[in-house]
Amino acid sequence: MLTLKIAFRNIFRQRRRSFLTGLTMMMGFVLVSLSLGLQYGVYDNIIDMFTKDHTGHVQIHKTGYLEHPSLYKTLNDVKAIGEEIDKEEDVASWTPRVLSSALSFKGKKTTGARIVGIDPAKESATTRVGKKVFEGRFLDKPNHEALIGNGIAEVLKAGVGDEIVLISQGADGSIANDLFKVVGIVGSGTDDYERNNCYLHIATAQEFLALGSRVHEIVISLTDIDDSRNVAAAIGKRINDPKIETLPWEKVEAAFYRAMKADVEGAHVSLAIIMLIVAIGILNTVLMTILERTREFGVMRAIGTRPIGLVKLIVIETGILSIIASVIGFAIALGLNTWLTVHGIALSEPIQYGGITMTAMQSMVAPWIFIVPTVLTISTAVIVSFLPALRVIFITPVDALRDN
Amino acid sequence: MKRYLVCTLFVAMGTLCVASPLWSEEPQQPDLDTIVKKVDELYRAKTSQGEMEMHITTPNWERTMRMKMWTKGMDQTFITILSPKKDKGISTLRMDREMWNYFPKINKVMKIPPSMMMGSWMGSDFTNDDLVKESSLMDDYSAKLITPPDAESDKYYLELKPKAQTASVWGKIIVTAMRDTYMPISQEFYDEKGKKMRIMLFKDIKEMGGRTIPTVMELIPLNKKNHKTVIRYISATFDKPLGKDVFTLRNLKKKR
Repeated sequence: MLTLKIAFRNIFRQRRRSFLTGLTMMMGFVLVSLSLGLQYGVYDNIIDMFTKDHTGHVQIHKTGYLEHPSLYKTLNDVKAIGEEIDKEEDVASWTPRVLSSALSFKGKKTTGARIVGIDPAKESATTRVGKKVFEGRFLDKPNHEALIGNGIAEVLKAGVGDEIVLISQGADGSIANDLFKVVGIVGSGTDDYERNNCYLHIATAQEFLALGSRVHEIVISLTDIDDSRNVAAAIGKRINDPKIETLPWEKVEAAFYRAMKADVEGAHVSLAIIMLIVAIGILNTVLMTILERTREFGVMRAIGTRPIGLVKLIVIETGILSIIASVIGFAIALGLNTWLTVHGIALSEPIQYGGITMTAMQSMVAPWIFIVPTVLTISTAVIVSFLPALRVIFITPVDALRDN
Repeated sequence: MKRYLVCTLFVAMGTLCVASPLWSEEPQQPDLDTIVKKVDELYRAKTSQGEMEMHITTPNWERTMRMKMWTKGMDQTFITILSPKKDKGISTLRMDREMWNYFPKINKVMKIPPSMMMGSWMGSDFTNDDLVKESSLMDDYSAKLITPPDAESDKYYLELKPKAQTASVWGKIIVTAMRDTYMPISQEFYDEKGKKMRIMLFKDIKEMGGRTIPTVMELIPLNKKNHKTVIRYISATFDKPLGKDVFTLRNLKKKR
């Protein structure tokens, strides 16, 4: 079409002006894209690290266990439950756990301990516990070995190779008491979660607490964390037992989830402000370029261009510019976001959030991180160009020619 | 005591005169002290030793333990668990006001503070105090004969209230004993507010070790649903001389 040809001609004839206008749009695009990427990248990272630490994505318990934990609220047929879990294809891995509290002793020192009976192989595939051992080694066979948290190690002054005593209540009413050898210490200085944990092999824990083959918790990790709610519901349906509840991590760690949501809501506000600023930037630039061409438009009107034709031209010109700017912006934003996803912005002081320590801010790459800025840039540019375009219609060619 | 006896004698004679043809049995005046003492010393003597079985029932689990017990007077007690295997060797020693538990697996002697005296012994419904007889009914309570509404004619009912100076756990204890033998049949324990907290039943009265004793003690706590502990005496001997090293901390740690 003629309008299109003229639009392109105008753009490439005034290279500097087009470049500057396009630059504004492009930078706006990149800025919005980066902000979105970093903000949600950090959140996703936090959630990922948090759930991989020990929560997993879905958890199964005896109904009522989460509100009122008790030694006696157990899942009795782990094998049957496991079979139902394995039928779901979104499941990456799962692991059973035994939970109780005990008193730990070494010599004259004593402190409370939280016993966590784990299956070392399955646990390593599902959570990051295995990677948090900072002295000694992880658990291995079901013998009397214990992996203690740094809090217990400090109070008892126990190190790798030392023997500790654990006393607790057995599920058969007996007094559970036995000796365990410390093979590793888990959780470094800032890790609050592991401080009072004492990991035992699940078979050892079951024997110590007279639980037989019962467990308290099954932790499941999925291939895609965003499916947590759906998969939890699906598994719950498969198990089909009102005495067993299957919950996504959002419900298990409800406090953390609510805190994160509140934070995300706050982030929305700051992102909206950023997008507003970008829009104003684009508006400013487009407005200036069009107003600056009033004389040129006056000439076109004078030689007979219909007002509507002029509006079309202006809008299409701005539109094309914004599309080009978006394309280039996309390329740059993609590159930057990808680099930031891999390397991240190193933080001078690690941030603690929900018990997780972050040393770098990482971005993320997802379609909507680029679609939102694209929509924003193009729509802002086009809408913004209407206003001066309309002014151009109403001005008389004589006044337009007198401009400047 | 004397005044009480004299008064009741007068009343009894008076009633006799009035209802003499209808009177079929003589009102016996029980020696309350004897009855209370009998409850205290039911299983004790100068020395005693015995083997018993304890069966605990709770809504979550059931357990049977076999143990051996030695006592000397009212102040010294030694108990060691014979079975089940994982609890074998766990022992309890009480001397005067002090009490210790020993766990062989971890080779640890743990002293039980007075604050834990009312705590459960080895998960049963018996408290530490029950098993080692810290408190004595004779010393800490004063008895009164009562006739409750559902009284049976062959039994005496004693109401025991704590003496002024004692720090006792129970607000009131009702002892039911047979009139002819003074054998205790049951004890009902009430807290300071008058609420019935637990019932102890004495059953299966048999001869054992030269004495006639209830060989089964059943303790039913009323504040916990479906809990019960039953102690059954398998054998007992009384007043045989015991070595002086039985009631020592060293004996706690002895390999059995």
